[in-house]
Amino acid sequence: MKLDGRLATAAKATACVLFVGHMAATCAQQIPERSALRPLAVPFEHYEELTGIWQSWNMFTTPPYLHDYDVEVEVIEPDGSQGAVGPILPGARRYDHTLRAESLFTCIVDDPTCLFYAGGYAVRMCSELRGRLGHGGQTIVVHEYYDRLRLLPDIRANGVIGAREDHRSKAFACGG
Amino acid sequence: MRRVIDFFWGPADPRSYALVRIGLSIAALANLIQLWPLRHEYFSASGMLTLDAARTTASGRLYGSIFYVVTSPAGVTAVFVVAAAAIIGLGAGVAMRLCAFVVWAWHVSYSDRAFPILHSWDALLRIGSLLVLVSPLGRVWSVAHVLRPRASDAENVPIYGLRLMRWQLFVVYITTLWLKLPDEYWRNGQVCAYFSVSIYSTTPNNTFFVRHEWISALQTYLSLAIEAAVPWLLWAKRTRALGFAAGGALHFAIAMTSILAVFSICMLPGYLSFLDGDDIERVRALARRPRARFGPI
Repeated sequence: MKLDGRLATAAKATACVLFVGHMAATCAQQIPERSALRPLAVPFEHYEELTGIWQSWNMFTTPPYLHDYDVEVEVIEPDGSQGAVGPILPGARRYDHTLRAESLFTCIVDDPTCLFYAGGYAVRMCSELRGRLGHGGQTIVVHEYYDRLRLLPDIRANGVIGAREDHRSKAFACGG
Repeated sequence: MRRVIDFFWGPADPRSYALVRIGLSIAALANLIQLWPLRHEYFSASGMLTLDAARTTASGRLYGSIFYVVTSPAGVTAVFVVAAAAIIGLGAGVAMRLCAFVVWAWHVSYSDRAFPILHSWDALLRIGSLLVLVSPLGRVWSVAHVLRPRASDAENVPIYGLRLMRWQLFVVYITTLWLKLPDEYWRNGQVCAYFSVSIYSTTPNNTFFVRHEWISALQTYLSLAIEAAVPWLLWAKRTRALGFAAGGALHFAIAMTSILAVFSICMLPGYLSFLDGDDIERVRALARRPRARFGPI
């Protein structure tokens, strides 16, 4: 089917408006949150969500700060006895050292915007423990064990690359 | 207005679109292979990310995901298998528009279900698959063309899709440069040394770049220079080969020295969108030359 010449031009012109809008949406979301121009990004938000073009290019805008990273879940029984299980669900398996898992745990332990994910993770872990141990009532704490990178002169001085730190989530109480 | 229309609707070689389509397929498959062993951990009801948390985060937004309704381990596996089939179909050139839609829906779906585990390459794949979906698909290099060739397959197609893909690559590099430049470690040239002993390095216990910090400084400044220059080098026809060489070297180095190889692969479709018909002919001539040299006399 061939469109009449003027109709085709009008259709192309309309499409051009959409293309320019798409390019503007790509740029507008890069405007910093605190910029006075940030309101320019608002009209594009639903378009970005619907099409999946939401984006952020802040990868490695600062240097990485961890040399080693591990995660464990501390389990405190109602009688006060303690143990530890792996954090990966299903199965409470050992930390798998994948990029995805590192992103998840830094998010649920360190990032307030992941509050709901942290709560949901705790519910799942409690359910896993209940299934495995046959009872509930535990308190769980997610531990991030990491070697934080030392400054370059310090590494050169004695060859020790990272300083060990234990970073813990808030405690989550499993129901009975 | 005529100039704007020509800018977006001018002619493009369909093989450029075919290359982007195949490049996206390779990148998407690499990513899916990486996600496959993790599928139950992040997408099923027995995994670590509850659906309630995803829905609460998405509340009031126009996010959508097949994983909002498919939550059983078997269902999640089935979605992965369908996505893999569509990705392969897209690359091979079978039922391309349908495959392109499924590939776009797949990328949006897993992203919208698992926000906390996302990385920059997930955005590259989401955006790339949308642009491939709305663009000419380059039937000229496809199984469909081999089976049922059409005279129109080799005809020029509108360039708008390539324009949008190139624009996206510009935004990636310019934005990341904008964000990196104020950082004191980038300015001091120490980032590569820190990176080399970080969890992202393939050799985190090797302190070579820490002990030879001047090499790290050269690497750091060179990577900034490449990020600043690559979009412009790719844009200009005369410097395009240099842009490919510089960007290729940067991403090859990232792939070889870090655990982020999939990121480098996901940059591929954006680069390929800059190739026009002349470039493709030049590459084909280069590829033919050794064969001619070593062929029968």
